[in-house]
Amino acid sequence: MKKMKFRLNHYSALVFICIFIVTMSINLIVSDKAKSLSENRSLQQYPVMNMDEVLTGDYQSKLNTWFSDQFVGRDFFVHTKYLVSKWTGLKQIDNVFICKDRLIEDANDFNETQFKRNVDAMNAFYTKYPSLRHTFVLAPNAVFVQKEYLPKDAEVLDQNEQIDYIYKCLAPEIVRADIRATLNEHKDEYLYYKTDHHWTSLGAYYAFLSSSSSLGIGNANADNYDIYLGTDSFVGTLANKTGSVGLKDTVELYVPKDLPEYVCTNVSTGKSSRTIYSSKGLSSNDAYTVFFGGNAGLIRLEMNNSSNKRLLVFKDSYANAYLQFLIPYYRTITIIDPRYYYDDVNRLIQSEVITDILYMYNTNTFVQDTSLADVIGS
Amino acid sequence: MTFNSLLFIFCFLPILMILYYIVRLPILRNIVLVLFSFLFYSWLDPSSLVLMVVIILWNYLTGIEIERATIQRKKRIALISGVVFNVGILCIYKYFNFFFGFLPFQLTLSMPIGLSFFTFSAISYIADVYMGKVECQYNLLELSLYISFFGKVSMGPIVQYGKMRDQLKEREIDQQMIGLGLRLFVIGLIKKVIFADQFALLWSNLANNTSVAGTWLYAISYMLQIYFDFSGYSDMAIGISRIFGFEFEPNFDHPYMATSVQDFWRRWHISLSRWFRDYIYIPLGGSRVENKVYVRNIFVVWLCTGLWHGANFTFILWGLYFGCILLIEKFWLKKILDKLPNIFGRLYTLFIVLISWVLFMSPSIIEAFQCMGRMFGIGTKALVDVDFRFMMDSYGFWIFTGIIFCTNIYDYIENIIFKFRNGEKLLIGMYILLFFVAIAFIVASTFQSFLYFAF
Repeated sequence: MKKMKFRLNHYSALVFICIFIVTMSINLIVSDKAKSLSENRSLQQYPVMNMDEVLTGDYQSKLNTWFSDQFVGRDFFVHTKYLVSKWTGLKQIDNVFICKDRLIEDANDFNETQFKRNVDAMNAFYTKYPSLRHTFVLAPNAVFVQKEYLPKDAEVLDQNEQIDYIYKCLAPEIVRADIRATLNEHKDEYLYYKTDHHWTSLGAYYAFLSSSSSLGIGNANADNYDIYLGTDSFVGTLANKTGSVGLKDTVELYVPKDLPEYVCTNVSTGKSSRTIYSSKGLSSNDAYTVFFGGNAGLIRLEMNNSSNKRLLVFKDSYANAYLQFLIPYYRTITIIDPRYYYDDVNRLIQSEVITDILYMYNTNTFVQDTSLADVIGS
Repeated sequence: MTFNSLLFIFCFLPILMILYYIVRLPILRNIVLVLFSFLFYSWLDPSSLVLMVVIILWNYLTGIEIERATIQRKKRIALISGVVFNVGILCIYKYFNFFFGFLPFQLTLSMPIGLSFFTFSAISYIADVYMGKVECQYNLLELSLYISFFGKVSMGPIVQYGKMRDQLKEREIDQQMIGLGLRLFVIGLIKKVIFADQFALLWSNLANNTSVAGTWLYAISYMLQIYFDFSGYSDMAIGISRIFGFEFEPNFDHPYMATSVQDFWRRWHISLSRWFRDYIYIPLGGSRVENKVYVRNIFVVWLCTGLWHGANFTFILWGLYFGCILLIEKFWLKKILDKLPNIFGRLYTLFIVLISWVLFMSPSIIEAFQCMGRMFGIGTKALVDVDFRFMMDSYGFWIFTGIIFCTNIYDYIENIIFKFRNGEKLLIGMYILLFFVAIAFIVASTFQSFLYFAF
């Protein structure tokens, strides 16, 4: 036994000195990376020595950050931590539930003051433009629709109640397209990404079928789409946030068979395209940006068709997958993401001769949104 | 700097080890250690180095003055001035706003790391010289090393000067010591970043739980967290010190296996208990005095112990609570406990200690009593709630293993593994694996995924 202890100490010294020195050398030799894809941020570079910063300690804390940011195998270690946590039974990391075969984001609570401002602004907006058709599509999140998949005993806010409450606060003239029942009917299908907080094109498809009559465009034909595979290796934001490994998603594109020719213009950048799908977005780290290349303040679609409907959309990113279904039914669709839009909406309504207004949000964003009132209330 | 940061483990430590083993001359080794200790200590706040240097110099001169004083009264004055100086600095940083809360202004000083620990080390030095246990230290380098050594400067152990003196000039090191030290460091790291941090998460998740079971789990998770955190850090400290040739006694000895509260305090933060015993309790007369004085001594010691842990009434009450329990044990309970099987003593101690941690962890006394009330069904209606069950599902594994490793079962496991052929290889493999997991946990704690453009 004594001999064994002796040998254990002997090996410990050799092994750990080697590990320390080798790891140090690797980390000092391997050159710095500029950006982390999984963290979606730029990494700390080796700081330049500066006497003022040394004296305040800022330089040293930058060195700390530099060393951990540039630590070789960083993502690998993060995945390891995730796996160890999962195997030992952890069911939740921050606001993400670790379910058997998917990740589900927790429900957000209301930001009461902002919510009140937003609904008041929506109601006032209706009073201002009573002749336009105002429709509100509010998508529930996976945490509600697929609550059977949540870990046992997980306690979440009831989005059903939240949505009822939101509907109650809105003026009766705003048409509510309630898509909850339809999504619930299909709840075991692939409605939400397993690694991302968005819904899939299938989820948006069901939502569209169930909301088309509320939009005043009649009942849509369910078989009217060509389905294209975008990618089958999408790893979304929830996976990045938790460090999850192994789960992958499939992004599909639903293209209407009667799709007219159209031009999609990102007004903020001035770039035009003949499709809303972005191959650059598809191959990027966040494949959900295949729709419109991600969020933008103002995007304008102009279709070559005979429709006399001109739609103005206020939306969050859930709409990005939903809007592909609307293209055939409108002459123009003007899409505003209030979080990045700072211009005058009223002028836009005049110049675009808008006939229909659509609010398209997911519940988790809507209850926390801080920008809608600023845009439509101005 | 902290032991559980990547920069420390994979830069500071290896560079220092290489330098230290290349340099063979004892005095050069000491210079290297002191310089690196200063760097470690003042890493994020270089201005705090001034304070460290002042404390070292003041105590250096005080030590010489005590030694050279020819009459007892002068020795005494020198000692008192030294103690007042050290305690005064501690008070300004730690207690000023607490004691002088009625003043119209507050001091906003950020406390240098480890101030409570190294000022106590410094007091230990001048007190040992005063009591004639040791001669004063004429070598400023060695005294600097004693006070500022990075292995113990940030969170102890508060090694008494008398016990470290002989190791200050030069130290033998061999591969055995290095191996043992590194292994202890790795064990401490595992305790800190794998176990303690899980319990910290569980604890913060349960902060708003109002059910009886949830509140018990809340208190227990703190009990586990503080043990794994503090004993883990102590293990790392003792392990690191061993790498550079210092031999310190263990700071924790399975405290949650104690059979009485008195026993608990012989096993928990041992270096602090001994410090209070040797520099306050015994000078006051210890236990060989009449009962009235004895009771006073106990309360003085435990008031100080409470205050040392923080400037808040909860800590004072926490200290006095232990004072009371120890008196009750001494005069009545001990006789009863001695007759009962050990298990009763253990359960009783665990309960007393758990209640003490509720006091310790609460931001105010009122909140502490509310929490204790909820543990016994006062102010709550639910016995068990969904949140409690969810947390048990999520953290059950860690709670179970944590409790197991609070006992001395690990020593048995190690002994069994040693019986196998190549058992030591199995063990070293296990350490490497767990070290790897610990590093993964550290790296992941610096991971922050930004979603600003995702919604």
